[in-house]
Amino acid sequence: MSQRTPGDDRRELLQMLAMGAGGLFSATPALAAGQGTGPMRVSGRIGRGANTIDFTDPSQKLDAFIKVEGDQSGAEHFLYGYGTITAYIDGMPDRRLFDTELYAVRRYRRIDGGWLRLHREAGIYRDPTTRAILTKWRNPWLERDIEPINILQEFSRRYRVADLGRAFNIGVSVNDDDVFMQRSFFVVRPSELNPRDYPVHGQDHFYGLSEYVNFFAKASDIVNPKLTAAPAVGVTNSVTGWFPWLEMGTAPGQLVHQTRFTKVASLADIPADFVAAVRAQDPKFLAAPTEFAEPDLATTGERYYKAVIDRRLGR
Amino acid sequence: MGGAIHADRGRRALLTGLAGARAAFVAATPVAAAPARRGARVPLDLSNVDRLLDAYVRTEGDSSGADVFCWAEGSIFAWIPGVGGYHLFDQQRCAVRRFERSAHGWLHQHSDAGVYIDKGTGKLLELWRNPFTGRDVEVSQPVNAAVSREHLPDQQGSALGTDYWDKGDTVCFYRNVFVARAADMKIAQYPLQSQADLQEFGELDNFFASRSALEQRDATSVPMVGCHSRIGQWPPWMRMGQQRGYLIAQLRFKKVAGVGDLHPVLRDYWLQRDPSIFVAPRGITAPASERGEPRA
Repeated sequence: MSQRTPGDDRRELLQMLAMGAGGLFSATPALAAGQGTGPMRVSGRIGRGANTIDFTDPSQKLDAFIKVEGDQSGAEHFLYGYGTITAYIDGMPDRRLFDTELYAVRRYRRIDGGWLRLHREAGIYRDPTTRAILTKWRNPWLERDIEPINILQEFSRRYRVADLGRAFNIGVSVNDDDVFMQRSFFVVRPSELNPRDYPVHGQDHFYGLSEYVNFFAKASDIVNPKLTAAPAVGVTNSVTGWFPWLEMGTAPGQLVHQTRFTKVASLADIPADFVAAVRAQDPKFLAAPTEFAEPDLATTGERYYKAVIDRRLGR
Repeated sequence: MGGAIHADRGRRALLTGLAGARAAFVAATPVAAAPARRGARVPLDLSNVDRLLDAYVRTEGDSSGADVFCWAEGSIFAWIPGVGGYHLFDQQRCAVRRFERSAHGWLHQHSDAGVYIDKGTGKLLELWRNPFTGRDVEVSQPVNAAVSREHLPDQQGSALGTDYWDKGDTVCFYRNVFVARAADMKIAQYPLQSQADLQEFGELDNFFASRSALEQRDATSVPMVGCHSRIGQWPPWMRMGQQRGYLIAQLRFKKVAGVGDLHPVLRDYWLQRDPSIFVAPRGITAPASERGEPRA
């Protein structure tokens, strides 16, 4: 049992306040923030005989992840999901803002030492009650209508076995025939829309994202040699700052995103009005890329927002 | 607490129930599509709110009134906007819940408990070196001993309602609960333990089931996997004071047969300290604030 006294608490508090923000984190070099977390504990071996996967083997784990999250055959495939976005503001009640509908279209290619993922994403916003696509959204704090900027992103990447446990992590848990895979990552980088140059659209000089992706699949499907893609469902949770198009300026607050998703076979399985909206914006995003583009040349959501906002501002 | 169980009697009952529970679970069907029996299938109509609640109850629990156990595990992170994210430790969790019909809907009662574990060794965390303060802190293991709520048809469309999303054979019930209320531990009295005088958190839950499993007329409980996400303030035991940032929990879970299917570290810890948390509460208890008791 603790023998602490109120005097101990006060002394500890004063010492903590004296350290200041810089000292707190410079004292913890082991906790370098950035891409990837870890290590995440790995558990389990699934299957039997020739159809066994050992998740403690990085190569086998990565191959299994591709089978769950995508398709090992190289075929174009889709993830499709529906979610909610909530404003989370310290000191104030939370507010569900709108729903979001997303798909990712991609293909995987095996390369020496890993895989290439060629990937595009599209997303729209819907009214939570009517489910109508939002072409105007009433900002409740500003009390004016805002035109949303839909999500269009292209970011292909390499998954190398040698990078597992360093540049990225895949957590795996096994419980009977259920396999749970998770990825989490954190991004803190200079913002494309800093508040000095974009006082209405820029929240901070840093763009921040914390994201947690969960996949659920069956061990019997993952070890099945006749399948190149395992049926899977999943949930993505993330915390970000304001979307630039919300025009919240530097007002404090975060967005809590949650999307549940599943694999679908084609665009025919995605609502027609969503597909039509993407086709009207840029039909390139109806299909996966055919060539790999280095990450620093790819289009990210923030860069796309900046391009649209610059056009709106006449820059 | 109404329905409290004597600790020793409860522990013996639980231990003798383990073998039978595991045998029953082995015979259960997976979340993936289950073969339909001739004449036993009823199409699922989730646009009907009574049928939606019935399907939700059979997904998260058991409409027969039986106790249902849930195994969960996950990771706990710190997210500090503008600074970065950190994987702090892991968690094992369990829940036992029971649903029964009420006059107008369903009464949902559950207990849940967990243990924090070292992310590298998997061992129970009782003392944790807080990297943000450089100090060791005693870990307080999480427990919600008796939680009850009523699911009512007229809650649909409100924050208390149960939403669903379906595609193909996949049905997902989801619930987002955000809370902002006066903190029991005010900064003035608890400068190290309290982050703010307003306690805030959000809990987001997703429960996946198979449509074809739900359409089995006789299935009072269907296999389920899911995900729990929580964003909130630093727990008091971390002694973080008013340092900015959020604690984020990510847990995945599934239904299991009984206590024997839970993580051994968690099971052993709570069997020693309070085996009553492995039995769903009976009877509704008022919130702690209305009983004059501080929330944990």
